Amino acid sequence: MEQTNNKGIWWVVGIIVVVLVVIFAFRGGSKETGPIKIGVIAPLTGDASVYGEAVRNGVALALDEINSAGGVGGRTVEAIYEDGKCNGKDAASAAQKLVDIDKVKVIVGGMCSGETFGAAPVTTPAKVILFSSVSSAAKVSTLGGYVFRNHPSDNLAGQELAKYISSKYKKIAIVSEQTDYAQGIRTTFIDAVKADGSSVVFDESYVSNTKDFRSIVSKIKSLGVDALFINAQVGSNASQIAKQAREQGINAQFFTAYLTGPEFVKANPEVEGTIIIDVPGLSTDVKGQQLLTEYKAKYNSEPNYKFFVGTSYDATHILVDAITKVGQDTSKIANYLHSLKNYSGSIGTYSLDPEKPDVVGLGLVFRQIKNGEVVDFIK
Amino acid sequence: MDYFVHIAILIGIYSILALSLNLIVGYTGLLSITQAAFYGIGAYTTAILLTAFGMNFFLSIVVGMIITGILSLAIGYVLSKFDGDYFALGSFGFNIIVYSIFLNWQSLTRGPLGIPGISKPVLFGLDFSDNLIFLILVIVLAVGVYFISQFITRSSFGRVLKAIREDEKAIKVFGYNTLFFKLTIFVIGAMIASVAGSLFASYITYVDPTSFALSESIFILAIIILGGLANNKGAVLGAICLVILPEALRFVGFPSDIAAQMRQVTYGLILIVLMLYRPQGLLGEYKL
Amino acid sequence: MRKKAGFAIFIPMDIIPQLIVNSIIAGAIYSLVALGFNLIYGTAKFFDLGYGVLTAVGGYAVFYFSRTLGFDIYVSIVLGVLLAGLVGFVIEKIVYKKLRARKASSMVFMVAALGVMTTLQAIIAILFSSQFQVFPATISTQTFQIFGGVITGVQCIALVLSILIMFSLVLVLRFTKFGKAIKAVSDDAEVSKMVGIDTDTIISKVFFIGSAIAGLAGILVGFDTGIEPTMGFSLLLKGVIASIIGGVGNIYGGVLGSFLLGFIENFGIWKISGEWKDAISFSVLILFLLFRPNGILGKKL
Repeated sequence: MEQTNNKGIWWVVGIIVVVLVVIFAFRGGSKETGPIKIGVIAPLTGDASVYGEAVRNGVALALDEINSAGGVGGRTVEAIYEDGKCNGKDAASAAQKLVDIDKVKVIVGGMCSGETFGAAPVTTPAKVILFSSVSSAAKVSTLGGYVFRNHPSDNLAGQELAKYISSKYKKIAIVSEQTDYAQGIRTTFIDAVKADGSSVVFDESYVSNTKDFRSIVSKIKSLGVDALFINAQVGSNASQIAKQAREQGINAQFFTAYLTGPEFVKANPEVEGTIIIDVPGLSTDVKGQQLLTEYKAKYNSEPNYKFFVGTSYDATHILVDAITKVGQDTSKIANYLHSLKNYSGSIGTYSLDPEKPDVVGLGLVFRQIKNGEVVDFIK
Repeated sequence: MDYFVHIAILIGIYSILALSLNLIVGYTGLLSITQAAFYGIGAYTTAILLTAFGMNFFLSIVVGMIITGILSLAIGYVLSKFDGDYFALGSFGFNIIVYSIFLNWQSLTRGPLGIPGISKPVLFGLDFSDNLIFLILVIVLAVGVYFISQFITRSSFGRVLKAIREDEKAIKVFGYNTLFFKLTIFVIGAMIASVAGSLFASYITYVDPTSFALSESIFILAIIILGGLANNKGAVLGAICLVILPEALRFVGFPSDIAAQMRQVTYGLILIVLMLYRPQGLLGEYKL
Repeated sequence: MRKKAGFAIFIPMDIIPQLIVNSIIAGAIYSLVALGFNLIYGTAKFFDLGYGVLTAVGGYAVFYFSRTLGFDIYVSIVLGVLLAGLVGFVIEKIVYKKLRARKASSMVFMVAALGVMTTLQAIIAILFSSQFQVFPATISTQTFQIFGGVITGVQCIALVLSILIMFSLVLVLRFTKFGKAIKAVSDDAEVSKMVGIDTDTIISKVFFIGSAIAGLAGILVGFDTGIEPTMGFSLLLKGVIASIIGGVGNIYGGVLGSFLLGFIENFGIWKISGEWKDAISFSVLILFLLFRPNGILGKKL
């Protein structure tokens, strides 16, 4: 005995009408004049939004430069930012909207590897270019010819760090954040250390919103380790671990990956001396420095995730270069990208793999925090 | 029109989830906030069976339902010891525990790395990778679930459920074994949610733990509250509204750096306003 | 992955003091959250899921006052606590009071509270971005050694404050007219009304106090580690578990449960890997719900 409530039906009709009206009013067509649109998929809300902001800011900075230099053939380039929420399903919806409704030809995204895995099955059949500036999961390399990335796979950081650490230290501890990013590095790190003949005596992970690491630190202390790899994705977590470790009297050498932003470096005195594995650019070379100066000018602060800002900035420039040179035919763009060699980007000089979504030739370097600043570290 | 097909598929999947939860919450009055756990078990079962063993999708749905059925029997049994608010809290707890397992049992689930590359269904040579065909599959299943729900709730079994919702002690006096009824509907609801999970896994071709956290259970609850508890049409209506809402908000021109947050504000305000002015939901017969 | 090779089976003696200190620190923060939460549950009789976000309100208020407006840090703290109380008070007035007036069920309250949490969190993120923020290190960052365990100045303050507030609340409840009225409302709101107690005002004031305590908890967490818009939810869940363990709606119970939870978490993850911390906490919750749903000290305020 269900009463069909008429009011309810009108609600539904009303919502559907509003939606349809809005969609058709805002529908982007591919016109020959008017701005060129590129899509961006990144987590704009939720826990990962701190990285999403970095991606968005990097893209916006690049577009500012491009547009003040005249755009592409007189047309400005605009970005349509969609929220991927660091989630495969939402990234798929975002990709579907960008491809179908906005009709973009290229997308900078996903940021989280999950977003890339969700978006690729949508973009690839539609032959839309998906260029990820942050996804690091090894399996992204299997996503096919229309997906690209300029962020190195987890394998690289894990292996390089493992090589150095196992050559100098005997008792190694690793604390990892429970994200795809950090877990990927963790597995390659541990395998590489084992292969080098050393051993990891402590291997635990924590959920991203953990602030209290004291018991993990106590466990590490009881083992007397001499090297601690703080495998965190969030700079603040890493700085907490460092602080709580020193507070409890651990004297081991700290290591992190890519955390050169103020959120870690300027957090507290306990991070002093940490060795950081990093991309070559963004610290010492001209182009990287210029990017950081522009960022500070536009956003009034230093970026916390320089790496993501840099790769997203590069990705935008690379994509717009491609459009400028070969137009918006995506099979031509794909060919252009696959043959991109020795691109001098803000994070360093690198090439794109001729077949797979991978970056080639980006050597990683070691840096260290000395007197509160990040300087090069000579091994 | 692919975008609309995509939205329709999501509406279909969430309709199945809403219908499944409605049986437990709307008809039987058990405030269960753990449906995402069963959704996830179905999804991961399909994901693992398809990627590691190349099993047929439809067979994986059945396996998923069996595994979910067994686990939900255990969970439901423990939960049946609680009542009212404590039932809800306990179910919260189970959701978080199951989520922890998805996240930390890395040898099985690859943890936060998730499982990519799940293939689309294939049946008698009919390939479902065309979204339109997948949509038809989802609609068929959703309609099936709808009629099953209607059948259950209109039967004498359903009447007992409603009686439990109204006054469990009273009906116990009449000799009904309420534990049996509560457990049965809990397990049925869980198994239906598992089907939705299998569909989800194959459609998106990727699963990771974040899709099955507590917030997802809360979302499904919000759907049936919006649509109206104990009303199957309401469950579907709620799914339509809450799936379309964030997508529609994509088109409203908020300035890009706060757009996403503004959507959250809108979503939150809608919940508050609904509770203040129309708590029985859109089509509800059962006033909360 | 077998990672426990070479691990002591028993906890080495020299680590126990630190684990104890860790447990106490965690317990102190949780107990502040549980105190306010219990106060609200005791009187308004629903699980306020939106309570957690008030910790963020307190934290961000201090951040804003001290960092952006340049106020003195102690002034900022007082303002932050008051602001959190005020926000909680206002929300009660515009949302929960109306729901109470028409005797809405707990499901409605929960969903409304959920809406409150989502909205407030998003507003904070809009105003301050989602980045994790750290407070200026002006309050004592010294570390002290207690029986071999290390504790910082801020953590000591958190501990002292939580005990102080607990005793203050107990004194208020037992010896003031206001406190007795709160107890009456908690026991039976209907009867209280009949006897002439203005239950609405009592509940409003309780929300103010409870929310202010939450704000304080958020501020302390801010000094100890830092703040971000979503910080409230996990704190809230811990407060809920602590309350149930100790006895829902019971002031002493909330504090007892909090310290107990702190101990269980910190000693528990000694043997079980850190990533299972949440699962452990919630398993404990379920065990208590099964075997002792009224908590250790029972339900009364």
